[in-house]
Amino acid sequence: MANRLKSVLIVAVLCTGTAIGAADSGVDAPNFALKALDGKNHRLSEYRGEVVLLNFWASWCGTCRSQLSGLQEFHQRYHEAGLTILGINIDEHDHDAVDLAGGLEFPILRDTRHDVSELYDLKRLPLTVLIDRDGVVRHVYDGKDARSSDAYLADLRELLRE
Amino acid sequence: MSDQSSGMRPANYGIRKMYQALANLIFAVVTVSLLAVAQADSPEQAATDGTVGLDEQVQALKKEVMDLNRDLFILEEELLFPANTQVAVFVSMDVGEFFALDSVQVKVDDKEVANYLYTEHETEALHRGGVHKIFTSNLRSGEHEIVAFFTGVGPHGRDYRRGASVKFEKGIGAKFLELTISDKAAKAQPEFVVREWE
Repeated sequence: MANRLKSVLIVAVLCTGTAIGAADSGVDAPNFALKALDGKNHRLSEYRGEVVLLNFWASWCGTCRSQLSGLQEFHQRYHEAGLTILGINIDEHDHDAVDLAGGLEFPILRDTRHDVSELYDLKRLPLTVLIDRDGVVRHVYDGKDARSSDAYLADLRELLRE
Repeated sequence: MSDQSSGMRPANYGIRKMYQALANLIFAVVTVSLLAVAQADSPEQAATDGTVGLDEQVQALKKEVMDLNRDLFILEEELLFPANTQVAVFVSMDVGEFFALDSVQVKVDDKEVANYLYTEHETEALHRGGVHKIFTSNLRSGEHEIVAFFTGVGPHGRDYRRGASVKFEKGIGAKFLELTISDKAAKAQPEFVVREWE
């Protein structure tokens, strides 16, 4: 009984999300370049001066899919204020991302080799990283902390005000 | 060094961050010292003359820090890539209508060493005469082969992938190679050349 309880507790701990990923706050955001679904190449460092929201997602992740519309709203509301959203899709095939990306006006980048996912130590989906105008990681949300896009609205608005 | 989606974390990333932290620390300490000295002056001197003098001192300090940063960068390059083993590969473009560059992949002795995606801004910079250092490393003396693959959009809007290669002899001293993309009007095609800098 005690062993079973111990196992349940261990599984419960492993399943909970953590507020901080390996892309720790306060460090320079690792730079990368990826190709978007529209064929254009995007390099993170070229967005210096803007607040950048990186959102790692996949078509098989239900929470990720439910956040996309919220991110689209953020883009429409805050793009003029200096927000750039970069969706980073990790599906194996382009068509999985294309099917869900319709209607999204921000770039959807394809991390087919998962190199950028490794760079940001992606462990749970969705993973959202907020980067300030100086290219510094300020907030990281993954797992249960990223269930809703509203979870990081306050932090996002604070960065935009800086 | 591979760029495409592998992130810009070369081997000297940690060293460069250390140097930057050192430069920032020196700047902070000296700035605080200057401010303390300024505050020790009489209230009358703390008006316009003191402020202007402090601004000039801060500007001079900033310039010294930038010079220090540059010197550290040069020192770092010399330590990590000494001239007797250094090999550097550059990309340049002289194209108009025959080729829109997307990416360049470089292999040295059949091993991929660079894979760089070019953004719109970077391509524009190349068109304006910019030269991009795509790869720097150390190679032993002897014969080596470099192969470069250029991917982009060619004539008539079709996907284009071409390769160019050259064998070179690495001796004593740094070796610089240039990958050049240029229009060949006679054939209405882009031309890809690998050449050594003398």
